[in-house]
Amino acid sequence: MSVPLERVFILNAERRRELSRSAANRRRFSVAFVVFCSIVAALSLIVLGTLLYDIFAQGTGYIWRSSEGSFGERVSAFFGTWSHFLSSPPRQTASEAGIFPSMFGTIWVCAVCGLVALPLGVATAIYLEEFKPKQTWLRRVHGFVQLNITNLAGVPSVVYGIIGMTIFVSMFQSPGSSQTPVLEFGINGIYDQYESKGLRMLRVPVDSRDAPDTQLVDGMTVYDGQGKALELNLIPVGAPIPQDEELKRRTLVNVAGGPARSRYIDEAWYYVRIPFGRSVLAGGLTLMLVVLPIVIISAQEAIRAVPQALREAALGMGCTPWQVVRKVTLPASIPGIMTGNILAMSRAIGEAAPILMIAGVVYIKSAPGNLMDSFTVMPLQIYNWASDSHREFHDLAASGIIVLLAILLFFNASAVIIRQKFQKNLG
Amino acid sequence: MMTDQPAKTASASAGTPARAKSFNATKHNGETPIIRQSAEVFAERAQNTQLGETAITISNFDARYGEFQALKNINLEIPEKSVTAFIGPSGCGKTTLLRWINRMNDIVPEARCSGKLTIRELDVLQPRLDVVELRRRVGIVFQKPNPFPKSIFENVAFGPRLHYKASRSELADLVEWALRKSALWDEVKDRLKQSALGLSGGQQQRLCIARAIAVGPEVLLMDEPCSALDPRSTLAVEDLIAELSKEYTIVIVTHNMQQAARASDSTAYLYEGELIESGPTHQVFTNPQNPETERYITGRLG
Ligand SMILES: Nc1ncnc2c1ncn2[C@@H]1O[C@H](COP(=O)(O)OP(=O)(O)OP(=O)(O)O)[C@@H](O)[C@H]1O
Ligand SMILES: [Mg+2]
Repeated sequence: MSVPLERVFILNAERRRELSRSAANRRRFSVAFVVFCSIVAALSLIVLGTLLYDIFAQGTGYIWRSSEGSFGERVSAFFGTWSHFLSSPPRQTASEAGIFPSMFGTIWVCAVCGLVALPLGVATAIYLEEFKPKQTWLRRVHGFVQLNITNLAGVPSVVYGIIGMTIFVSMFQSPGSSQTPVLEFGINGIYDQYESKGLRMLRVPVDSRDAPDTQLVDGMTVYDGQGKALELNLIPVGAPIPQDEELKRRTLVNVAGGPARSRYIDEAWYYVRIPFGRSVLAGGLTLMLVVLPIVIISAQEAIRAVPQALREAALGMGCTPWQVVRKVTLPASIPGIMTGNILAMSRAIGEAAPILMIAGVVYIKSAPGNLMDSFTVMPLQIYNWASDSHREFHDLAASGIIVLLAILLFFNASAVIIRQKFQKNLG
Repeated sequence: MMTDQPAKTASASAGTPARAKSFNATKHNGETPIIRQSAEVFAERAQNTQLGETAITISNFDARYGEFQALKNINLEIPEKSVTAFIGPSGCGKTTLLRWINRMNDIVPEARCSGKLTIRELDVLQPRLDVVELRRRVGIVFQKPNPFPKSIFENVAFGPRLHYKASRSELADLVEWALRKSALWDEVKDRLKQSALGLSGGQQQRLCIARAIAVGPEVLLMDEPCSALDPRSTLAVEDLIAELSKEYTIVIVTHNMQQAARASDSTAYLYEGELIESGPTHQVFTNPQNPETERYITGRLG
């Protein structure tokens, strides 16, 4: 039955020579391949370097050029401009504009996204990997979920924007009715707000959102901190602002001579409403939908990489399935899970399309104060500036990209540190 | 019941160097066929061995992985407070049988079994069994060393922590005891906080043994615990087995005939999923009922 030895070519010197592959050829190919890989790697580095140089030159160059005086003065002016840029809202004039609201918008939205996506994604991954059901029909459900998660990872993010609109922003109500919340919690007060030119304002408490407008009459008296009476001067919109400094100080604009200028809702930091509206929470959750499949798939891979022998060891000592997860699988897979999460967050930070759908094109002049605040994010702000017809705004866009990259780096660095900390614990 | 045997006393007495020497002199004489070599040992053991009551009863036991039948109609009684050795060629189903005793095969999706397997009165195969409690009482050491990626101390303290609310100092004592018992203490006492993955293969295997005995199981299943050990640690582990067998029921899988002969009280020989022969070790080794058993033991098979 066995193979005749003369047919085993490895034992036949002549045949062996005939069949042998050229070692020199193989070595040459190997060297060529290494060279090829190095060139490709160098190319991508060059592209990255050029990009970074370009961004940094454009994003910082104009600030440097506009400063004057000695070197020390120029440096301090440089940092002064940067801190102004970081702490101011966007304005009509490029030199005054800043990125503050969208920067915090990005941080808020990404925080919401990360805080929800991580536990949800890891829990899903644990279920899919560690608690595979045994019954036939549950196995089918399991397979179905698995298949769909893999598919969802490839869905364009705009689609998630639409889903987010329906689910979080309006919660299946028709778009028009999403204005008034069905349920609210955490309102400190509702006011009619009158504003003066100097950003002073007058707030008159009202009972509810749809209380009738307050009517302002001339000659209101308010008391300042020391109990001194101050006669307010109400003027209609469009009327000239008094030149006299003292009078100007107590002048308020009475919009259209009648209705209150705006209804102001004083929201606590924990303010919640349903539906969420075009809020930070809706934006964060929508981004969460975008990155969830990535988080799940990478966490699954990390969990799968934990040797089965470790699970058996834990089970053999009398661990419950949950204890196996808690004490063995999770600690061993956290580095991998964190890596996946870094990738997911990097994607979330740069997403513009779904956020554009959720947040809309709005002018935001302050950072979000609670989860229900309206917001905008840096990619949108950068896009706005980059598409402006004035060249100065293009420089601002470059500065914005620098800030975006810095935040990205910060997120990634903290994730890497967490990962390394866990890895060290594992030894 | 066993300490007065020559083999045991030789290994159990004195400090380590002397022990290692005596081991080499008497046991590693590769030329002599094992049966003849151990003849006197068995003669003595035949008188001394009194196997206790049955701890584990296996009857009409079949096990399969999918379509493949790994065990066929096994009928075996494992006596309590003694060492039982499973021997047989590779792939004959020793590990499979061992893993069913504490239901480790639950986690192999395609593994199925039928028949009866009881530990004392406990029906191990009943679907509603609390496997966590079963596995606390029936510990297992796997064929391949599988320490957790934690410190050496944490590895040994892992099981006790699961089941007991012991103080730190009590845990430390337990860890030291377990490491001493598995002949690892001297090597690791200065590096308890270091990762267990930095240990050598043999050290890892002894760590796994320490980890298993630290839980205090009634039955200890050991799947080739000495396959990666040098003769000295092998002997130490055999000492441990001998000592534990005063209190616990021990099942050990081994490919080493000398080890089976030395360390076990009863032996079961499996071949291609069937139990060919079982009985007191001296009987199986000196007077096998089945010619196949004899061929395997003398090295002409498997
Ligand atoms: N998870 C599994 N799936 C399918 N078949 C398996 C599985 N585990 C073991 N088997 C098969 O069952 C048979 C018995 O395997 P087992 O591991 O019990 O052998 P063993 O006696 O322990 O061998 P060894 O001495 O090499 O460890 C083998 O033929 C093996 O291929
Ligand atoms: Mg085996």
